[in-house]
Amino acid sequence: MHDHGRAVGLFCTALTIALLGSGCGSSAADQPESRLGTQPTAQLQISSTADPGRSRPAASRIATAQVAQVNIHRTPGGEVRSSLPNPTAIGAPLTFLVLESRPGWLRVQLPARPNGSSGWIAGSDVRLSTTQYRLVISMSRHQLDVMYEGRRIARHKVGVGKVATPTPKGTYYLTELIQPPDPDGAYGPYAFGLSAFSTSLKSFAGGPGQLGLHGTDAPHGLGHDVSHGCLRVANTVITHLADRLPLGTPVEIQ
Amino acid sequence: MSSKAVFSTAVAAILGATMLITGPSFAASTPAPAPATTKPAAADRPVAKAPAETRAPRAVPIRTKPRFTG
Repeated sequence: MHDHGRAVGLFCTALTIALLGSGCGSSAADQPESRLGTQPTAQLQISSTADPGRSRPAASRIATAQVAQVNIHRTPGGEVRSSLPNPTAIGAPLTFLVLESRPGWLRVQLPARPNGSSGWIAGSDVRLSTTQYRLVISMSRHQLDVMYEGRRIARHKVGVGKVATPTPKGTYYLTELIQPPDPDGAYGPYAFGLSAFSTSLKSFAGGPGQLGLHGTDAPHGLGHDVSHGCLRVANTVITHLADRLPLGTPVEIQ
Repeated sequence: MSSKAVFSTAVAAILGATMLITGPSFAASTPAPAPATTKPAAADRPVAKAPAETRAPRAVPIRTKPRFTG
């Protein structure tokens, strides 16, 4: 009887040790590991759900003046080389396309000659905003592509400068939107001003030779080299663009 | 040893083993103590937030005669 009891006791002890061993193994080591193992998986699932796949291209940054005069500096905080009034001579808000930024300072493209010139302005002088719109003009194909979030959403015929008065290539931006008194006139119902200037005309019609993107009263000229440097589109197209585009929208002329 | 004593020993052993098993697993579900807080390095400190950039609104047309090159 004693032997039987000892055998049962040994069995219980062995059982206890075995269960204890397996219990310690699963509780103390596996569980934290399994937690660490499952948590990143869950995070990955969440992040893959949040990112649908295609990443949006970076939006263009636009600086709109908030002061009566914006000083243009050669370097961040450096010498003032010029200043621009706000609003502009025709009453438009002074707008810049931001090229680069440093703490407290922005390098912007200037709406001035020479084409594509830039300078530094104080970040405190402007309000920043963004746009996903971008216009791309192919002069050889006489096409204007309207881009949004990096994708072409429309393509239109465009008239560009003649050989004697060419449209200068480069990246510029929309500086103002004008609604002419005569919607059936040479400029059509709307005319955007560009930050680009004619390289062959120092002045035109009392203005400084500034280029524009506008409608036309001669639609047969669309798709041809017909202008003094401006970009001409159909009146329906310029009306569509005027309803959507902000000042500061980049315009790439290729 | 009577059969009653054998039964009691077996039950005690199983109960003891069960407690030992559930004990650590219960302890494992207890949240780990928070790591000691240290002052973040200067590079890790949050910098002042820049004002939020909004989407630029459509241009407002100005009624005047254009003087572009045309």
